Amino acid sequence: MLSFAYQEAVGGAVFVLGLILAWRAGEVGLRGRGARRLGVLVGGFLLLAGCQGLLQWLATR
Amino acid sequence: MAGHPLIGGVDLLVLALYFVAVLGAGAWAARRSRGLADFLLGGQRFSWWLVAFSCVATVVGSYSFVKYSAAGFRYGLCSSQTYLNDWFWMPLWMLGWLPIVYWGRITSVPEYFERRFGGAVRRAATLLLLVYLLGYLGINFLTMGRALEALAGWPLLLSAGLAALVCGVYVSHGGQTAVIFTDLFQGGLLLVAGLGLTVAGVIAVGGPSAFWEGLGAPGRAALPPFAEPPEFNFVGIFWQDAMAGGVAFWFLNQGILMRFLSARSVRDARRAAVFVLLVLMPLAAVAVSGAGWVGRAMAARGILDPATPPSAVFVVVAERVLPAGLFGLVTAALVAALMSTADTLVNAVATIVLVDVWRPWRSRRDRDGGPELLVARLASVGATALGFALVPLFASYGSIYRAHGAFTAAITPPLAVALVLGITWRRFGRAGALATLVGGTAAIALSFAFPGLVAPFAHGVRLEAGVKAYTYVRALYGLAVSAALGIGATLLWPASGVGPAGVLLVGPAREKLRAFKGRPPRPGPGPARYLVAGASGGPAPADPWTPPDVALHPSDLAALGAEDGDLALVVRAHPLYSGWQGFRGRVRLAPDAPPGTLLAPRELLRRLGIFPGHRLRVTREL
Repeated sequence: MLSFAYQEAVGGAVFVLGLILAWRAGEVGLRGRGARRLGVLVGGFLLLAGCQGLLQWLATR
Repeated sequence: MAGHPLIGGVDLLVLALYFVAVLGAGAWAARRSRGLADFLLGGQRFSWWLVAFSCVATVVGSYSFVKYSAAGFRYGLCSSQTYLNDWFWMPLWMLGWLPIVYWGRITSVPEYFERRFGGAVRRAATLLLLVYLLGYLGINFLTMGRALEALAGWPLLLSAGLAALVCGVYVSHGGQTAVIFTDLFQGGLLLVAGLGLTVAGVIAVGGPSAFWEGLGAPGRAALPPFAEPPEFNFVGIFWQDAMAGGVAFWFLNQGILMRFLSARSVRDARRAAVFVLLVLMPLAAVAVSGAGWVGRAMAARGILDPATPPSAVFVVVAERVLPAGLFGLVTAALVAALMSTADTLVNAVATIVLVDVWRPWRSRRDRDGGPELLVARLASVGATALGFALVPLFASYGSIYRAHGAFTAAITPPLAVALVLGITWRRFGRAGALATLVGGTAAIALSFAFPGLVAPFAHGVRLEAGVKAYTYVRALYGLAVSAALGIGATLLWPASGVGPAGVLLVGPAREKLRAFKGRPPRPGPGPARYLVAGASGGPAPADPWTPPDVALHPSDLAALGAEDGDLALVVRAHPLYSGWQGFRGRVRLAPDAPPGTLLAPRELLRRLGIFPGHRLRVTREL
């Protein structure tokens, strides 16, 4: 699981930095269009991480 | 060297039909591509799904089927790593970079560097990008040649030359419009063929359970082992592909940039990106790797010789599990993957030559643009010829995969760092950008002579001899050194003044929208209105970024919630044609215009295939 943890930590930092910049620009938020964008971005992140994490976990069993 | 042909008869006929179909699609699109606006940005008329499907054909590169099947055969499902690791950049790309280039009317990546940092940085970036794109093109033609050599038994240079000729013909005539239409066809073909081959293979192995068992536990992992083996380790590929490669592909690849700029709106471009990354890329990962996974399971069950060369497994599995005719279709998909990447690169090189070499050269001599469309077409031919000329050079490398990995890891980090710092850090100026591009490139060149420089960044990856040393993880070294040089130079010589950089930085959309529209933006789109097309005698602008004027009766203007000078999206209201028959226009108040009719330049309507009387859906935007 080291590869997975490393990917999500470093890649996740890049992702969060991008979200912070987008938040400061007013492009994402907790209401209206900003909330929808935030939902798509975070949902996509969780979907891909979830699929890869599941396969990694299954491979260790 | 010509070999024994693997295809013949029906399969060869299918392959020949494929070439005819691609040339036909290219010629059909070329008839609709009549100006520079179409050649460079496809007239900015494409709906998100067209951009997405054509994009996936570009994503699946020339070597994808062979390379990923080989990796899948040796290592299992983790061959899909590079297809699933681009999402990390999406907040910055979708909400930062895309608005900058689309609303900033930036046609090429070096153009951004000039507007942000000045001419010297543009020249450095142009040189690096052309080296990257032409080298990439050469590798694509080589792979095409190798594939056709193996499949049809034709000599390498003849095979590569044929592929280059077909590609050069339709791109030089049809530009971006032809690329999008042919890539739409080719993207669909390679997905269907690759997924079909995988399904047929799983059935041949004995069903999903037998396939899953055959993969073995290590083969089911989504990611490779951390630092071993040197030729396929997680950490090196992560830094080379997800980090440096992610920025290079999404932010710097001129072909990808133009593809998304050809969308009819920023919203369409964003939807296309989401669909590509969450739906099409995972499907493409299965399509290109599936034969390798099936081969691995077949070998585990004794159906396939485990000593089969990994680079041959795609063809071997396809030959085993598919009947005649379908093998030809899969071969056509393989060639489609090759062609669709090469055509994008040819068009990208032509754009950079026109926008970043030709125009600045003419401008320095106080001349107008001259015959720009002709220049772009000649540049397409020249790029094709240069890419083909590089084939013998790359053919001298032992492994295309290694040569390509080393090449991209060496070229992309300085560009990636300069761009990311450029869009996110206001103080990052000309000195920082030059230090990043020139110093970073020099430091990477030095690391080939002294591989020990990369060792502190190697994460335990073993040092190999010669050019294979730290093939992938060199990207991390390049990123770190380029960033250190750029940040150091910026701290010493920070950018003075923030003038035009506001619209060139990640920031609020309002300022960028205002610059794009030429007047303050409005909140949200207006209501849609259905009108009938009518032809006017006005000119259709040649500049890809200048919207044509469209005339509306005052009552229609009011119904749209628009004022004279606002921008509107005009799309043909027909489910079959709405994907590409549309444009952005600047609405003009015309009391003489018939109510319920939108008058647009006759030449523009003809180019789009819209005739007077066709029903249009019009929406005020921005």
